[in-house]
Amino acid sequence: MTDTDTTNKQLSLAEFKDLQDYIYQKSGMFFPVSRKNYIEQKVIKRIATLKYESFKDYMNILRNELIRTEIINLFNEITVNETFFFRDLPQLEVLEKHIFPEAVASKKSTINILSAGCSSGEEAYTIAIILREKFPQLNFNITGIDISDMVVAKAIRAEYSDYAVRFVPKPYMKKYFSTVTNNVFKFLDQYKTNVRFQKYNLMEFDNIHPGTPFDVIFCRYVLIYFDKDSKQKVITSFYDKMAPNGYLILGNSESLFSVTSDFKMLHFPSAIIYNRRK
Amino acid sequence: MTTVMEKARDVVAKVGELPPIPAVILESMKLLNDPSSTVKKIQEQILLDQALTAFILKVANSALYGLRKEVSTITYAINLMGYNTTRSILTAYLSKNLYSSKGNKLIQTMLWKHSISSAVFGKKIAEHIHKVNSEEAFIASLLHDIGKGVLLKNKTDEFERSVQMIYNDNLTSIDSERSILGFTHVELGFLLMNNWRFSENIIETVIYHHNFQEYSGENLLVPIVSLANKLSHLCDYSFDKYSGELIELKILNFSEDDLEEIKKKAIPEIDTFLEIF
Repeated sequence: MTDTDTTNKQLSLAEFKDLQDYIYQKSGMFFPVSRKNYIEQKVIKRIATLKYESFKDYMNILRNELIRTEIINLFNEITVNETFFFRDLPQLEVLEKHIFPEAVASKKSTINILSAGCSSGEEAYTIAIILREKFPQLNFNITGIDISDMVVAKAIRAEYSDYAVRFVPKPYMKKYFSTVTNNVFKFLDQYKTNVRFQKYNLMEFDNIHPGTPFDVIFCRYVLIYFDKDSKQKVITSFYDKMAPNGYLILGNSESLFSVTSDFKMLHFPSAIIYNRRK
Repeated sequence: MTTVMEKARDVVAKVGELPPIPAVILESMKLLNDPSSTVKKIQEQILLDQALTAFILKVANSALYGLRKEVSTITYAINLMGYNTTRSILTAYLSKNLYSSKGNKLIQTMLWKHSISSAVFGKKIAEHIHKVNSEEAFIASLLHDIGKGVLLKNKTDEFERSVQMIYNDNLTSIDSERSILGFTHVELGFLLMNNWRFSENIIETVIYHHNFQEYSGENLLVPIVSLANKLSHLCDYSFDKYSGELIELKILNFSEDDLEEIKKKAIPEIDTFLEIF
């Protein structure tokens, strides 16, 4: 194997630590050594795409911003998350049976929802469908944010594979999507009006996004990438940007134990969600 | 110990039937405990359970062993890991199954995270002091909260409410369980370990993992499990409230530096386990 052969190359532990440190500084995402293989594959792919010769060259590009967009390309590569419409039905049910009816009962005119780490928009559009179908009396704004501009662009384009829409009920499929090709479906523009997407780094969220407080924040399968300090920082920024008694919905395996006690845990038959304490 | 045993008798009536130990695990454990068993014989037994087979191969192929070559047979996996480690992996499978039996996914994950992290801490502590079989320490630490698995399975709603109480009202698991159920996972763990015929040494660790200060015996597994449990709390692999000094350090003759070294060794291994399962 020569130096120029990057296809089979492995990062040394020191090189990995270097990269781990860099990713952490820039994004707050912490990848433990046990994920070395995963990161390695992604970085090697980037090095091959750029036709660079070694990891050293690549780190040089990152650190000195020789290619300014490379850090974004790297984030795009490592945060690609498989997601789909109507994921985690029990949590969506809490939305439908508890949170939205409560908003209606309290005569709320508009409900503001944040999809943090929105990926390619499946979650945001799913919530839009539920609101339009079940709560036509409720106005809503949905904001999706993600660190990766590639997925944000994808969310705005709103074209999905048959895999991503596999759990969309048939009548909704007919109403909300057009068929682009055999297995590509587009979420229709007319239903996108109050759903918007922006590129944000969650770590900088606290000083970027003033505005109407959110009633519901979804942040599913995002915090798994963060260490405790960064988690606390992100959760605090959620708390600050949330309406009193707002709801926080995390991924099925993520908890706020040892992160904060600013929220109250609410336990539903098959879902746990959090409620801002005041 | 007698108080726990007395309480435990009352608990049986309230909690219903205890989960049985699967026959494949029981038979495989018997074979693994007997040095004259052949690897082939153990493989035959393990292959009866497909999920168990997959579990073992996944561990053998993980970063824990760092092999370049793929481990595709149980015989190779056992030869690679040895009988003791294979026993540990079977126990991990057993507890993972119990913790996944019912209830909320988040709670299942939290139970498993605490269980496997304690196990790895326990093993590293034992390796550090050399006087105790490290796989025994792994198994005991892994099982110390097994009573919570029974609660999750038999009293799902009550148990989930108790977890909610720990977070919302800042209680310990012992206090929240006692207020909701009138008994705790400690009595249940004792009962289950007895039923499953685990050794007296391991049963003691289950009984004393919350009140090591009351233990006067010489079984070193007891302070090891108690410390492993606390380290899991300190490193945020747990959802119980924990406070108190690390009184086990004195008996184990540990310095702060020893503790740091153990953490440094254990955490990557814990993360690997959590990654693969």
